[in-house]
Amino acid sequence: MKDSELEAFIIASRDKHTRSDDTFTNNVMDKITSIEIISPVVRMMSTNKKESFFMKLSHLPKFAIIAIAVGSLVVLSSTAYAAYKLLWEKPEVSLSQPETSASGRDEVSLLFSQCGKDEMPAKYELKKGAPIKPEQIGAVVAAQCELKAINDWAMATYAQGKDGFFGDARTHEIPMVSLARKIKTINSSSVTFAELQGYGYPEETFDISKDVRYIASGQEVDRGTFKANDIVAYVALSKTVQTPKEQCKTDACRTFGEYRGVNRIVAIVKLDKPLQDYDQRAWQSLTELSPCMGNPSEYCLGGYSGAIDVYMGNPRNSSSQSGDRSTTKQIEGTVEAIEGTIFTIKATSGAVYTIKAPKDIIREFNANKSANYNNEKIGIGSTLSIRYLEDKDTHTTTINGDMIEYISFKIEILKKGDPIKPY
Amino acid sequence: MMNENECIAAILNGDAEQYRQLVGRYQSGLIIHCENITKNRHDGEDLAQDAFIKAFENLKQFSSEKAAFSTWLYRIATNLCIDFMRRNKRKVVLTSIEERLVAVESSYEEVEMVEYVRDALKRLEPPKYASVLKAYFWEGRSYEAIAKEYSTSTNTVGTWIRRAKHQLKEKLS
Repeated sequence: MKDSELEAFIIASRDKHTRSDDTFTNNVMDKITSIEIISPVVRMMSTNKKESFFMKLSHLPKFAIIAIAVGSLVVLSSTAYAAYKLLWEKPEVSLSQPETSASGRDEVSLLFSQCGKDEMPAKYELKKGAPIKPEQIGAVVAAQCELKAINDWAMATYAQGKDGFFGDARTHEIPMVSLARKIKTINSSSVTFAELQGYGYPEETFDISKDVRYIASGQEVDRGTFKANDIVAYVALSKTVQTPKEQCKTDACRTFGEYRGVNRIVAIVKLDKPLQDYDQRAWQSLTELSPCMGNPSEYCLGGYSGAIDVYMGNPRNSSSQSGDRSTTKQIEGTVEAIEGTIFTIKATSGAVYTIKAPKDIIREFNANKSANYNNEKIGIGSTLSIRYLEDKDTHTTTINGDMIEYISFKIEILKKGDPIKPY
Repeated sequence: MMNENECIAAILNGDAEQYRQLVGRYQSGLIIHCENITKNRHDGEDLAQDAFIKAFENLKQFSSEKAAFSTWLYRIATNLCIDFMRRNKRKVVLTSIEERLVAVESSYEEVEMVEYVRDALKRLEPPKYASVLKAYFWEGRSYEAIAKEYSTSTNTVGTWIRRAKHQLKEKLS
């Protein structure tokens, strides 16, 4: 038995009652709950119901609706004409001019978008201290729109499974779209990407097979179209294949299987914009705002926004009271007043919601948890997010304790590892 | 206590706190796995932590019908470790990593063998060997932490673990 096999068995034999390193676990849980990450799971927890295109229109002035209607006709007709030869629809976004948001930040509204299969958020806010200027927001959003369209195409084209992560138990295959890279050299057999400064990505060289697809403006083109200094993203397949035990030739393989890993580039896509527009740090400078789940006339924060858990209620408590008609809703706003267990928040529309918490959660947070989060305390002006259960057809601005599923304290983060700052 | 799939379902349903169970269960193995690849305990801990966070971020994409959570988690960690090694221009021995990965993935399925190991651990002499193996492999403690507890050097802890593994291997053969 090899050392690696023995060690694996020792680890697997771990008794479930064994104590584990609480510091490590707490670090992971803190990072998850304080969301120094972009988390689809957490987005789902505090996420906002997707607003339809026409719902978005209802928030806009009439002249904008007319402009979009005319623009859409042009887009639709040109798409119909070009669809037979494009691999994906031309990614497009149209944004309003920057304005000052309710929170005092620079904000733009999405007027129109065509960025792959999902809708984009309704608004983007520039974070305080962000490294980009308000006039750059449009270019950054447009660049992300383009990457999203490419990613959707790559997943639809190369992912074997529905989730895009696994093939089957024996073959794992993950299509991945790279960050924007600059080509250093390219020829018929290899491509070298220049070092990506600021990310720690060194210069990288990949073999190119004759099956690699070269794409520019959504269309397949010849390799000759690509040259040094072009800004591109590549699609790579990271594939791992396990030899079935019955085909093994060694005992080790028969006992434990044998894996063979392959990484290969399957497509290189020329990008339309300068490298800095695709910079992830520029993208992380923006906070997304979308209509709140169940409260579509209010906006809630999403995307690269963070939150610290303040209170986790038990959703089952209230579901029995509300019956099958209850649905999860979300509201976010700044704290206006605190009186013991009761506090009020002002949402983006100006509506005031009264929260009747089951206990003094704000005092408890400030006394017990705040020290873990840069001593930031909840007070007047703090932004809180409340997820609660309510009958689908009812709307109340008083949220009682038994309705509350989850309360979080919104924070603003520019990059992982930054000290916690309240939103 | 929930089983693994119930736990994952609860997390996806909004109960993030349940992730603590999964972190507790796999942290020691994952740290050792990353430490083995990077040859550095601190890097191993950081990467294992990143892997747990990345797994949480992508939990919606996990399908228990296609692979065990441990398989998926170790794959994520392995990819992070390989990226880390490449970023730091350090040599990556893929065959050795794959060998370890295969061993880990299979070990969680070989229930009978796991029982043999548990039994053999009880029979190690001196019993301190079993304690040290458990501290390192089960509790996820570093050589430094174990050395401190036993008031000895990390080299001695390394020797104990090597001898304990040798004895364990003999008992299992």
